[in-house]
Amino acid sequence: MQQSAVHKRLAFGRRSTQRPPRQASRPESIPRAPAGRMDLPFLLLTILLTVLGLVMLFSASFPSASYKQGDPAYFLKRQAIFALLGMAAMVVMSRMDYHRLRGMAKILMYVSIFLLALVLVPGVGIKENGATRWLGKVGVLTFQPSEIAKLAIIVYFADSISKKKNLMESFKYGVRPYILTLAFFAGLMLLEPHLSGTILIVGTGVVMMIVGGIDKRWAIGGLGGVAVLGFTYVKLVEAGVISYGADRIRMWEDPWIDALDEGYQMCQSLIAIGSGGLTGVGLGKGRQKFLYLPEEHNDFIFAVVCEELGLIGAALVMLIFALLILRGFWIALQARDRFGALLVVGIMTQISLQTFLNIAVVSGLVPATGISLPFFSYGGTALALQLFEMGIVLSVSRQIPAPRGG
Amino acid sequence: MAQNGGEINRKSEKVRRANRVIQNRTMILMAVLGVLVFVILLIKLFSLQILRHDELEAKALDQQTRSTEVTATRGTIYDRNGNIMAISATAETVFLSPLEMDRALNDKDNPVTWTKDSVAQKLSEILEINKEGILKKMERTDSQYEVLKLRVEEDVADQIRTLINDEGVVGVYMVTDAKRYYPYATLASQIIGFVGTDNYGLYGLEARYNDVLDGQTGLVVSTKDPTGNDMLYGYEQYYKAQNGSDIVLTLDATVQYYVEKALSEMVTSTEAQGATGIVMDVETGAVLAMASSPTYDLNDPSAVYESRLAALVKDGQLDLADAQLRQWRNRAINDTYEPGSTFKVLTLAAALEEGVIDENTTFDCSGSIQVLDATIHCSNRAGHGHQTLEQTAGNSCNPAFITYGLRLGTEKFYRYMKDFGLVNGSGIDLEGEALGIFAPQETASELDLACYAFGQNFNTTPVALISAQAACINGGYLHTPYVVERVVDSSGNVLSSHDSTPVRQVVSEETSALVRQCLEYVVSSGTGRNGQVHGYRIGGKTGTADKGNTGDVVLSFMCFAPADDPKYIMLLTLDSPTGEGRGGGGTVAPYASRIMGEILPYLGVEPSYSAEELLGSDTTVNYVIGMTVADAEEKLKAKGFSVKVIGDGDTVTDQTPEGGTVIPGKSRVILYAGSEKPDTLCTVPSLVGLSPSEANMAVSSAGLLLRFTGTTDSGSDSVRVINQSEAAGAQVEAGTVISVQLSDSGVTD
Repeated sequence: MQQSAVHKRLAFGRRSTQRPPRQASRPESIPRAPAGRMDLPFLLLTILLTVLGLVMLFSASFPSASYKQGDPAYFLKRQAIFALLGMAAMVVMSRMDYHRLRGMAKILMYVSIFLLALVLVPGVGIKENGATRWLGKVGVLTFQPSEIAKLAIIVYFADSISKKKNLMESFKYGVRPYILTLAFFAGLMLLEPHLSGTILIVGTGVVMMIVGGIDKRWAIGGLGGVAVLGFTYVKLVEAGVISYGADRIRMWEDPWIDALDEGYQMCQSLIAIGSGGLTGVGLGKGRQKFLYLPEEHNDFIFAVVCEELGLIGAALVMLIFALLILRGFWIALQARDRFGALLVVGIMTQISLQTFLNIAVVSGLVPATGISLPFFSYGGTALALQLFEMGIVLSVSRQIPAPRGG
Repeated sequence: MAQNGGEINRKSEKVRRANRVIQNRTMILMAVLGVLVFVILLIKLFSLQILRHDELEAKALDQQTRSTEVTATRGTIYDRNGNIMAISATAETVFLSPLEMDRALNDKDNPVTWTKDSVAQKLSEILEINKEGILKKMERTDSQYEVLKLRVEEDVADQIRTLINDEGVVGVYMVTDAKRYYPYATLASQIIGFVGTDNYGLYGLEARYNDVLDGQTGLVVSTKDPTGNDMLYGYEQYYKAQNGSDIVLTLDATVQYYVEKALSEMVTSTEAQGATGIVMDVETGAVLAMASSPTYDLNDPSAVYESRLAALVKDGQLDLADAQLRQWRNRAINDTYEPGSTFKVLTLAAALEEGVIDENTTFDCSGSIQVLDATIHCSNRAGHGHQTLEQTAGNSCNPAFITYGLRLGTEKFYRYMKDFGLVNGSGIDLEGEALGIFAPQETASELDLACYAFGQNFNTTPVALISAQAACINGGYLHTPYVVERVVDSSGNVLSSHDSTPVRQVVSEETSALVRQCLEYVVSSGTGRNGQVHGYRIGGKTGTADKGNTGDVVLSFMCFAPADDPKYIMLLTLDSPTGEGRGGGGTVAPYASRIMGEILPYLGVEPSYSAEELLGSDTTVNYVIGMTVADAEEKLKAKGFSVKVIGDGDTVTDQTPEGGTVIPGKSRVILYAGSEKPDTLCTVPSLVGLSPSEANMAVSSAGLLLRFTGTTDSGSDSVRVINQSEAAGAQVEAGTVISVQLSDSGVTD
């Protein structure tokens, strides 16, 4: 009986007969409008995180904003504009039928491949810290094509996987095309180079494949393989066989051995987190952001959260993230079709991987790599895109079939 | 469902299975990404924020805060009248923060116009220190505090400030620091002592009272960003500096000055190795002056101050370090010596107290005395003949005092040595007092005792001896000598003050009175005649002691005044004088007389003149300008002056000497009545070596006035002028009083 309950909720192909009369009266050219209300808890958690993110961004960024830009609110103002734009995009998206994204899957893929290639053209991409990851015009609007690529992969995989059903179990249809796609994207992004973006895209893609129903052996073998590969890599670096990334590994294991140079950022982050203690030094009263902690309003903003709000505050922020993620996956479980479910799984996987990796890097749990914290880190286009993605989740939540019976 | 047909069933079965997989795997994912990873992160954060909190917070504070020391002002040292002997004033210390300098140089966002080399070059020019040294310090880039120069003067500090401001140099700073100044430079140098570069007392009272003088350094802790600027919302914590306490000494700068001046002249004229002088309040043990020669300048303690010592260092006969130690030494307490005859005061007091002699004791001196196998000679080899008790003291008769000592016996003698504080030291509140050196009582032979009785073969310090001598004449009370009267904190509260309760009564009032009587006889009629001071009753004792078997001697003279009711006692010692030996009475006593003549009126001890002396005693000339000539004459004659009037006016228009001048009582005062006072100057004649009457004649004929000091026993043929207040050949105003000191060159101990 339990099986049938699940079946009812994911009963594709039957919704057309159950479409509410309100939507049925609309002209055919207008996309199928969502039936129910959007998921309120998810919306509130999103807004809460966005507002909290803005508050912490201001707290973390005002010293460097006033030192370098002469305006303490410089970063806040720009982020707030994108937060508003993102909110608008979220609302618009949430009111749209997410099935319209199916049609855009391929286009998104081509656009992002074009942009990922464009960024590599000398003179077009913007170079920063030895990597060319940005497009646009500095000081006006810049964005990372990889952000769009992430969304493209999610939409494309959701579309493609949802159509394959049981074929996912075969290597030929379920594994090979996706692995090749991911490898292609990874290759483009590693040329920038953009390791963290690659990890996120590949990670999200692989998770979607696994959830999408590839053979258990492939799933376990793949994950096990990655783990063994990672472990071997670290061991080989320690043994001195591999030199690429050796500094990164060394600084991860003990940043204090070079606290003034290579390990400086890591040490400053640990100092910020550690000095926060249980209750923190108080919102806005952090000291590490005064030019000690680099990237304090970007990748290391969570260290400022820990310093100012303490373990209690950090745990609360993580709890809100966890609730958002749990609620997201709950929406995926309730989704009316596989496409919606996979779409939400992809988006929530990407958000949670990014959150986990960011905090893990900041706290020294994993080797350093530049991953921003969703909703918190400074970066307007990224924030707007994240909110747009939340809009997709909300859109999926609107079509959750009402529990039948009664 | 069954009616829907196999086709649909098969399809929905596949779909169902695919959906089920998504469903199950999503739930696993949910558990992993929604719960598990956050638990892992929480554990990691717990370990950082709770378990490693203290360690990381310490690191945070270490880098975020800069503490600046606020130097506490070291306490001031005052003499008894509030004159400042040592005081701290602020000065700037220049230091580097190589860490900040390095960061500023590496900050590509804010390029600087200077380099390490250019800054080092300028600093080395301003501070006059080695450029290489500065560059070396700049390379210690993990340091935030490298001292470049301690305590620079204000004009140098201004140049540094200009350098920092004009060129925007980062990492060069100054802190206010204290520098110690000694206004009197050489005065009481060995007592005051000096501080090291860290303002920590190294010698003298600066060392002994370092904890009292030294304040509690204050601290300003403020949050700074890496460039050293205050954080926008930083915090600042201020720990107030606690200034050191002041100490008020018993020393009197004026008395100290007179003693040092006399010591210096005495050492110079006799080319002696050194000298000490102590002036003490007999009723409390308060030390008014304590001087050692050679002395040094407290403001530059490492420089050899005395020219004779400096010459030895220059010639390579003396190490610089040895010369420094010699001038830093407080000989009055650090060094022991064989006191010689000044010690006889104690033998006399002990013997009287024990009743082995009394005021009627007489002694016949044959010129030597046999003790065991040894023959000990008296200073007068012919013998002093029959002597009263006073005369044995007055003649400093060795056989007599040996006899007194032997009558006392070893046990009693040693007990008195202990009671007088000679064995264990006086306990003065100064660093490094040496203890007495005596043969163990058990092994002391009769010969040892015989030698001890006249002050030979054992060692003591001048300060222990003068304390014991004070006890002999003040009624028998031994006081602990001291130099610190009280300690006052920076708010003016008295923290401690000296308690001058006597340690013990060693001899009775009666014994003490007899000792005083004998010692007054020594100065009035005995070997201490050169210690006489015009207008005062002085008691004293001379001493000439062999310095072991070196052939050198230590000459000394102890005196006190007034002899009948002692207030102040003084002990002078002169180590190894060269030239003809005239003993303590001949060489040292005249200087003692001079010092006493200067300090007793200053200290408010009223002179008491005999009727004979009164006629010639010093009298203050009245201010009579403006009076009628008749009135003026009457006033002056009433005081014993003779008067000569020049001019024929009725009113006095001018006078010589001027009103207020102190001149000998029988001198002539010239009044001008309408007539101009001649402004021609008189030439001072050479008086040294003349007899008193010859000197009087020479001075009078030069149009000047004469005053005698020192011994005035004109009955002796050997009395001669030994010095004069105005140098021979000097041009002085008519009527100026020339003081000459008389000394009896016939005196031997």
